[in-house]
Amino acid sequence: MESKVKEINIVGFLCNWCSYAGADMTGLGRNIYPSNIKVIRIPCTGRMDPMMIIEAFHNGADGVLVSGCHPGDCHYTEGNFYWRRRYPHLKSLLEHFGVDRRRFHASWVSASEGKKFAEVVKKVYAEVKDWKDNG
Amino acid sequence: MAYLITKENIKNLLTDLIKLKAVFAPKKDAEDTVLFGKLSSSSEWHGDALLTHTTAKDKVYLQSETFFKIKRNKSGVTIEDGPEPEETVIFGCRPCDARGFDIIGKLFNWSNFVDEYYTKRIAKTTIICISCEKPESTCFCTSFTKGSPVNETGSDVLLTNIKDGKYLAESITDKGRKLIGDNSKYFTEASKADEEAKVTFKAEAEKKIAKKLDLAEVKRKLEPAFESVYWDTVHLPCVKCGACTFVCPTCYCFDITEKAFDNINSVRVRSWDTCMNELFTRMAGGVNPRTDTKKRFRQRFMHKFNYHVDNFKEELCTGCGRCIKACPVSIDIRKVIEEIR
Amino acid sequence: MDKELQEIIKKLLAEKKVDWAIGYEKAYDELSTRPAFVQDANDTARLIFNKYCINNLGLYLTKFKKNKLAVVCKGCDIATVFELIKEKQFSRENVVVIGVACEGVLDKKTGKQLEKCENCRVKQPKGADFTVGTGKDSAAPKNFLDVVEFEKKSSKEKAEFWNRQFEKCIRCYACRNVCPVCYCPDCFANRTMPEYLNKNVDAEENKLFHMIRMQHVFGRCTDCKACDTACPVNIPLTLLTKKLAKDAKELFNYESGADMDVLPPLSTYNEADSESDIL
Repeated sequence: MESKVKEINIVGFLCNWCSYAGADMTGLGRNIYPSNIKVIRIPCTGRMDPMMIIEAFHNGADGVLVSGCHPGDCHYTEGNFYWRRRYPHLKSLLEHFGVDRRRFHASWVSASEGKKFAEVVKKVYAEVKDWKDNG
Repeated sequence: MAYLITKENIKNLLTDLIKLKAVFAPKKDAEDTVLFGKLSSSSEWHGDALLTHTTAKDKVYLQSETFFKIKRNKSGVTIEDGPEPEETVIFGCRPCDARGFDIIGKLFNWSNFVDEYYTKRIAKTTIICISCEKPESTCFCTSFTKGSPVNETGSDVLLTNIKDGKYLAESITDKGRKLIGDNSKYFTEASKADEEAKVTFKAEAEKKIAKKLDLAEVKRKLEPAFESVYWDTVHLPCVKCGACTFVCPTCYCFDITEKAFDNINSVRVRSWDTCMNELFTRMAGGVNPRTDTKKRFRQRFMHKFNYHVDNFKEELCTGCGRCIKACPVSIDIRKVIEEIR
Repeated sequence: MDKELQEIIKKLLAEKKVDWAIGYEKAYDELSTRPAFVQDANDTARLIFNKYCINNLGLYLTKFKKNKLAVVCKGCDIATVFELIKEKQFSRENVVVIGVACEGVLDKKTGKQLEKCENCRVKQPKGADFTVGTGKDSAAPKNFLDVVEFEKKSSKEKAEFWNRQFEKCIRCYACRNVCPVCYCPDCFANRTMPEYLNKNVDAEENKLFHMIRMQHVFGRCTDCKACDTACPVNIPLTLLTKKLAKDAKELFNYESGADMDVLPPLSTYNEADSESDIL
């Protein structure tokens, strides 16, 4: 891989019950995806403190991905519903502060969707790269 | 020795100084905030405002001063000094700001305790001060022994606008004499009449300052007032922000912290702190002698007008009135200390 | 008007209906007022209300939780009181809201009327226990023109704009401390374990503080402009609070302090919420 590609840092906050298992599944299924994502396991997207996302950007993350269970599948019944409300507001606010909207993403990935996780990371990577290259 | 300089020549002088040194002068930005900023051309100087929103203090006593940088490598750590101060000119501050440097200068050189960071910076700083023509309703510098709209304590050169566009320039210190000597082409010698014009100027300006406090009386009243019930109610409107202390030319309290950038690089930094902040007195383990908002409020006035007077025989205040203006709930320092009982 | 206000408060204090009354009094000059705390029924003569009464007195409610209070509120401040009651910070029974009709307030620093007063629809206070005076509401609703204008900028321009603003910031926390909904006893900015915010003051660190604060007050901020007017270096925080109000309205059709029965947007959810942006 070229060095420039390596420079991109994406922080992935994955929910313990779906997306984290989904990321495991990606590996098991031998799906290829960019290695720029650094995964942090969180109990639930409902626990995703927006402060941590802002801190991630502050500390130099190029992109942030938050991924959780599909609506209705939450291990804690409703955690991801709360996240679904927090996400658009946070994205809008971060954009207002000058954090480009291409840098912050959310997704639903279930434990069996290994392929989808690879797709999501590729997509996030492409967007972040687009931001980094084209401003 | 007094000289005369025209407003035109002041601008020329600034242009010359900018080439050699970092010149900080009041600058106005898009939001009408007037702050001391680094000039890139003499036209940026905004001389109309009486006071800048914050003081010039932060050009010498930085809000965040890097003591040293720490870098981890294979053999251990290396320590690197913070950036060396550059030659600086503070232009267009007011006598109250300049006197602030005098007051905190004494503190940072208190008997054997010499603060090398402050001392190093102030040694490289020349302060050109401009007398106040139109003091505002919040000004009360005349209450202090040394305070006046034309007071020269702390400044190196004092400019006084004696007639339209003509300034009387007085060199106060060696630094000031050197500055005038180096740029002598802009200065002409002042006559006796010019120096007398300053006396009229002073009288005129002082007339505009309505409030005069009896500070000896304040000190006498403050001493036994530590447990006074007065503090129980007077602090109520205060929201305990640090606006008053951070815009003050004399408040000097600080905190020393480390900031880590990553696993390899970190810095040790001294940042301003304020007695209004709960964190200021919180100790390791969580004990805090000043938990109560009342105690923090009291500390500010006690320190300024009581404890500091005991140690330095002068108040920790110059009467600039910035704290009154900056206070979100318009608490008036004059009223608080005057009504003490 | 002042007389009427004083009489109401005098009566409340004399009848021991409240422990403290919070109103406005004259401060150091004609253009400034400060919050006044009155405990004694004979001390009400200093209370006033005029166009310089800029503070949002709802601020003090969370600081006097144990007492019964009477609070002088402009129409816009009442939204704050209701928002705090909704957040269960104190009970409705413990506070007597004295609404004062307001013709718009002026900033003591600029002498100009606040921008929020132009299209104010609560000049005549609504929902107060007592109302003093009558005011005429503006016909036009609140607009977000300046925010919309700002949103058109590219993210790079926005970042540059805020960097310039936050370079000025001296982190005095006046914005946080005058904010009625910033009542956390242990603010993230004061936390040291873990440390969210370093004491080192620079544009990046200041921006971090403001970003987190803004995110914290989303859906609770009533856009009262207390932070904006308190800032000693005139950082246009109104651009941020207005953005919050706009987002709350557009994303969740929510207006802080307006309806007592609707929960704040982030403390509830709807199964039918949009997820167009989620991958």
